[in-house]
Amino acid sequence: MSLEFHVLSGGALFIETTGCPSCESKACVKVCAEQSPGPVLILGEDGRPCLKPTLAEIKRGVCTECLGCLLECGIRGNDVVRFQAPLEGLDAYVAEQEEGGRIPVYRRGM
Amino acid sequence: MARLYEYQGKELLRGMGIPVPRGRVARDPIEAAKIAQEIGLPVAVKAQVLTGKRGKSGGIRFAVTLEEVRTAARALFRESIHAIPVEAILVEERLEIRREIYLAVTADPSRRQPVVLISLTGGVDIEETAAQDPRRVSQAPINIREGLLDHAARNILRKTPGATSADIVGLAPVLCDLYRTYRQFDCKLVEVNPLALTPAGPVAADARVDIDDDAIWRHPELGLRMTEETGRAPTPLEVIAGTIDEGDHRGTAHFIQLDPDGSLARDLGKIPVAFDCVGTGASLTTMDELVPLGYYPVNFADTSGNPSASKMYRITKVILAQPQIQGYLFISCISSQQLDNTARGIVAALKELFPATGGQPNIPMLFAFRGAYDEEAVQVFRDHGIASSPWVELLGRDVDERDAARAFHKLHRRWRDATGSVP
Repeated sequence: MSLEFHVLSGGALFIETTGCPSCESKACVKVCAEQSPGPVLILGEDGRPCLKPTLAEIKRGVCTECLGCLLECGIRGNDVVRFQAPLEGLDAYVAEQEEGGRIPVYRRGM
Repeated sequence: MARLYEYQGKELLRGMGIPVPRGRVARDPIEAAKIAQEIGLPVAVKAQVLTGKRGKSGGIRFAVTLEEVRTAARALFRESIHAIPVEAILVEERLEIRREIYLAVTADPSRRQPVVLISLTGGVDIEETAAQDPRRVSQAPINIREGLLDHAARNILRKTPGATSADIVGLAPVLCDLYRTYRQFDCKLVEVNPLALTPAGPVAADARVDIDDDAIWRHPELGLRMTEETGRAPTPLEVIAGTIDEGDHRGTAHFIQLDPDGSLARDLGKIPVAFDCVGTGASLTTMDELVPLGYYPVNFADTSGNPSASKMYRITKVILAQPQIQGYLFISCISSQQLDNTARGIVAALKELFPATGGQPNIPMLFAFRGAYDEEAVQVFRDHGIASSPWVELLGRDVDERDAARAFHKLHRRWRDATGSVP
């Protein structure tokens, strides 16, 4: 099971909710409740996060894209939230730089 | 501001009914000669670079044979005009110019109106002319509710010193079309310098068109990307960064590369570092403190106005994609923006870029959060284990820009000593 919604910036959030009922922290819902103008994610009766506003409202900017759900689920939950944000051309730019021996720091060894 | 190349500007003018020379853009000498053959000799061969005083810098050449076209094109493609490499040239018919006129429509911030500028003595060194002898450049504000109609254009020209009847009748339609171009394409400037008076009538021998940044989205037909005002063509990373604000009005992510290949830092004997600030004032002050300590910010970035965390995530990925950097600083001014959101965006980017270490970087990084939710911002870094990295320094509101620069210097030296990295 999954939950997917698109946000104002053009990005999208994906939550793989299959294991959410067993999550004790419900961290995504808790952090979202702290955000103005109010929560996007609320706890459903089945113990999974669900959407309070409509998809259209979220796309218009109700979700502030604080990325709290992504980060909190990562350290307190099951790490099942993913965020995709378009950055058109960045991967191609990095690949081109690497071909010329100019490797970004994060692609080098530690 | 999105400045169009001359050939793009001329296309716009042509579409608005203003005569321009026959010609096309070429990307190599063979194509240049082919265009010259099509339109007929003699021709002008003009470097397409986004800089002024191109003619004085040797960026415009004339050719009467196809061999001369090829020679001129080859020479231009090997050159840089004001340090900008020539990647395209415009080959167009050489005009028989009897007289040169300067015409422009631009925004006058003091009047909050468009203003028409006219010099009947031409436009060479127009800025100096306007400063030394303002009477030679006449100005007329335009009421945008009325627009510029032919009779009003004639009245403007009639009041222009030295205008003949032929000038008034011949130039009024061009002036009206120029104003229509300015309005239709949301320009900040439309300049024809010079408007050549030829036996066939007035022809725009050159064209400068600057589109208002904020209106680019209204003109998909122009194929422009939103980038910062730099006076040069945007770098690929600047174009990518320009997309971040396109669909998201919440806060801004300004990004300009000051030293795209790191050569300036190298020549100055400085260490290239990446940079992001909340607020331009804090940004410039921190840069001033960093340079004497031996560092050179290879980019300017300002992420203010309360950007979303997702915007911070994106711009951080762009900033850290600069391959030459040996460090990164994020400094906020005493800001009212919600810094915990800012921190979340940065942390999300770091965790994605450095997955093996859970977001801990391999170069020195300093973060100074000062303002609203600054303690929460620092806590986000702690919660995700990034604060415990030996190469991360987190500062709060009790530091100024000098403290931050010095702390970064200390961190960088420690990193250098420990890793053996050569600056």
